[in-house]
Amino acid sequence: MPNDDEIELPEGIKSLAAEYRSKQAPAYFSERVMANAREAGRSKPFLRYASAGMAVAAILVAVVMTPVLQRHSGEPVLMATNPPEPANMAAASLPELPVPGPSKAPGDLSEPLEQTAVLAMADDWLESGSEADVPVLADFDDAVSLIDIPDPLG
Amino acid sequence: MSEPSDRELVRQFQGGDEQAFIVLVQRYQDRVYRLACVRLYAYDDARDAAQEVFLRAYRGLPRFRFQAEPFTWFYRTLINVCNEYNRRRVRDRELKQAVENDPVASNEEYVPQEESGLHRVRACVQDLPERQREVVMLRVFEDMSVEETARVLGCRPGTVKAHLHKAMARLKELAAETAITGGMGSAE
Repeated sequence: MPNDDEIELPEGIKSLAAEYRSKQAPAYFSERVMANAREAGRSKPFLRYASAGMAVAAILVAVVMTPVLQRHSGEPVLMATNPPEPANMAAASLPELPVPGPSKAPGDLSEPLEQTAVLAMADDWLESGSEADVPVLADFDDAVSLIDIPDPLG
Repeated sequence: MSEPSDRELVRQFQGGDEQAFIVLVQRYQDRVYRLACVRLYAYDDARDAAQEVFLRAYRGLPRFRFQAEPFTWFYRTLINVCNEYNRRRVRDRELKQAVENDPVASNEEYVPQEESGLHRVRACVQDLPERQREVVMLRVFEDMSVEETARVLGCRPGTVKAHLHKAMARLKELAAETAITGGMGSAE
């Protein structure tokens, strides 16, 4: 039946195409593919379990080490045995920020001066890359007291 | 009972039926191997490349989202794998040449006698532009329909026909210049 799809091939190419289509994949090709696929598939669950194991180990280390590190830094260890009341939770978890010295003009949304200075000092420590130089500070007030805050009024 | 479509087989494989994947491999292994033979110079490489295509399919088909036909996925993977093999071969040759100062070996040494038909197909299409070569390989040599070829290549049927028209003009010239069944084998 004549077909719009049909193409007229030169005789040489027609016979070459027929010869081409007679070629087959090597014997046992699919068996070899499946053997290799199963082999590769077997190693995959191992990798999955290994990564899951590493994640669990990381969580355990974090759970064990957090109280130790907190004790070392002098901070009270917060455990879940006596949680604060939900209403007071925000107040309990947030450190009290010192009231900035000079009063700010209405509409001045810039950060408090002390806070800016603390952040600048933290940046310096991070850039220096040396943890030995970083003092252990008990709270925010201590950190503020370390900084020489210029008098904004002159 | 009619055979399951490629999409049905992929869905079955995604549901954990490994036999469905074996059916897919058996359905396309000859086609993928032949296309690899024409794109690569060494038939050992072609066998390995074809196997690599199905191994990637085994890993990738569980995430297949049916935005294209499964064979389109096989074909694009095959092109990528063959390009990787050819790049590696060029690099290895350059390395060998640099170390041993040997002339580049002729491609002929990689072609076993029984595969000379595939060798002549490569000789026939190698001078065509890439897109025309792809159209000729799928439409003429693999005997796929214009629509199938267009789906695999991600273009319109009209584009396939245009490429085919240009390619056939060139192939007819070649057929007239040399007897393809005899003379093209040594053209490479």
